[in-house]
Amino acid sequence: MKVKDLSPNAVSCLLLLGCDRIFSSPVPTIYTRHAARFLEFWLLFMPLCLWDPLGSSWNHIAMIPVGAVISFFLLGIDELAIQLEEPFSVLPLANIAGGIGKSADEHVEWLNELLERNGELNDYRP
Amino acid sequence: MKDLHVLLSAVLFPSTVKAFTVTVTSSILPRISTNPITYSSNHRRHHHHNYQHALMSTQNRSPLEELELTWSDKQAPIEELEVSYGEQSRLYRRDFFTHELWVYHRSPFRFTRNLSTLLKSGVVRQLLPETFLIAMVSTFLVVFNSFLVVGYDDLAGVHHAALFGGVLPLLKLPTEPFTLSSSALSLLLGTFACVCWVGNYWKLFLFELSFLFYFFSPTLQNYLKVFRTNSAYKRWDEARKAWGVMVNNSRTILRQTSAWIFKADLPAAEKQRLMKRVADAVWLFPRAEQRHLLSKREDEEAYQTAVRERLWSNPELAEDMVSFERHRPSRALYEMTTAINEIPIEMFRRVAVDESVSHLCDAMGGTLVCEEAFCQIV
Repeated sequence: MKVKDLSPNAVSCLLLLGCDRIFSSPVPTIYTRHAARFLEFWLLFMPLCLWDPLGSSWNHIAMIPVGAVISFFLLGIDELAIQLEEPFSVLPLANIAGGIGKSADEHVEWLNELLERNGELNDYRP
Repeated sequence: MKDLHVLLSAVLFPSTVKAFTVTVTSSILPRISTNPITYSSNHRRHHHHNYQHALMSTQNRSPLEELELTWSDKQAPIEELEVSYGEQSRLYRRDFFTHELWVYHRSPFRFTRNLSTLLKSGVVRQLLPETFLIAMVSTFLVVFNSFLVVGYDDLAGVHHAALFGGVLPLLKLPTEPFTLSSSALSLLLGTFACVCWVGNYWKLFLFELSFLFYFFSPTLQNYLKVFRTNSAYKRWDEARKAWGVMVNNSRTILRQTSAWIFKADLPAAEKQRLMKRVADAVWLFPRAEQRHLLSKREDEEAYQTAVRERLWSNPELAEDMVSFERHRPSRALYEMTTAINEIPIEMFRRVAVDESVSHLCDAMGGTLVCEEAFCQIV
């Protein structure tokens, strides 16, 4: 079978990963673990380098909030990645599935309207 | 540091502290088994993931797995994590935008608005323990260096000598290893480009974060983080596209079958019955897929109610869809295929509509012909 024989729909489908595959296989966990270890290690030593730059504050006290803010924003990136990695529980699945349900209802109605207009429903009512 | 985590866990997961104190000794000092590590590579592959570790019973773990299983996994069981603030806040991230929401989204007050909701953020709550830990490290350094090494200023600004002046080393590092090298800039832009694709409020966060990269992050970290956010976003995008394919093909199936049923040589009542059966099946598939992809805790009850209500004309199918638990979307697709098969249509039309059903199946499971080189020919 050649590519030109496929319908546009089929071609767009080739590009897809299916839901089951995304759900059951995470980004290889060696990446996730290494990222977590590296980030945590880096952040634990990061306050040491804040001593000199923040020397103008009282007893270098600015190290505490600055260290916390930096760690929050950097950890936040890893957190966002973790949050998006399993996308289904942050996708509006109920809306999408509900929309398909509404389409199904509409088609049933449209068929009924057609049958009625065509005079086929004269002796029958659902 | 471990004590600190215990303290934090006491705040976050109070009821698990007791259980944790029982297991903490075995995790800080992993048991050294005299048995050689004899488990097969296959066994290893199936059980290496942290969460699977957490679900396994203790006696089944090998020494190496015991080492890999960090204490925090034992400390917070899945059941408690499932109802934690961070996990529950995922329910509110299922953005389904309308015109009004887009206007809200583009509002010039978005920066202050997002800042003001900082404390309600699930991301912030998730990160609180780690952020607190780093703040504690900073606090320790301030106290140690000021009181013990270089001396400190009191509140009046008078300098006092250190307790052990000249004895202890000053705890600090040069800034250079932590600052950005030039090649990281391109990767930083990589983050930004990726961020621009994201269609919801995540982008604000990442936008701010990329500036912090610029000031504080070494090349390697940039690389890692860009990779992480990119790959995670790609998965989100693919999942959304798969659902887009489901919507399109469901509509195609409805459109084709409704027109063809209308023209079939059947009594009106039979036409209506066939159409209702197909329409129910087309509704059933995404509903089953939704339940399959969401947790049982969240959706099982709603699923059962919805199936029983919607399939009132076919209670046997409804009970099948409830009692069959392994892979319900497949069962729904089977129902769809048999429903379509019941329609008296000619072969070419049958092939056409079956192609759409196959696309649903692909979107559900993943296609076998997903070769990039293959697609590039087009």
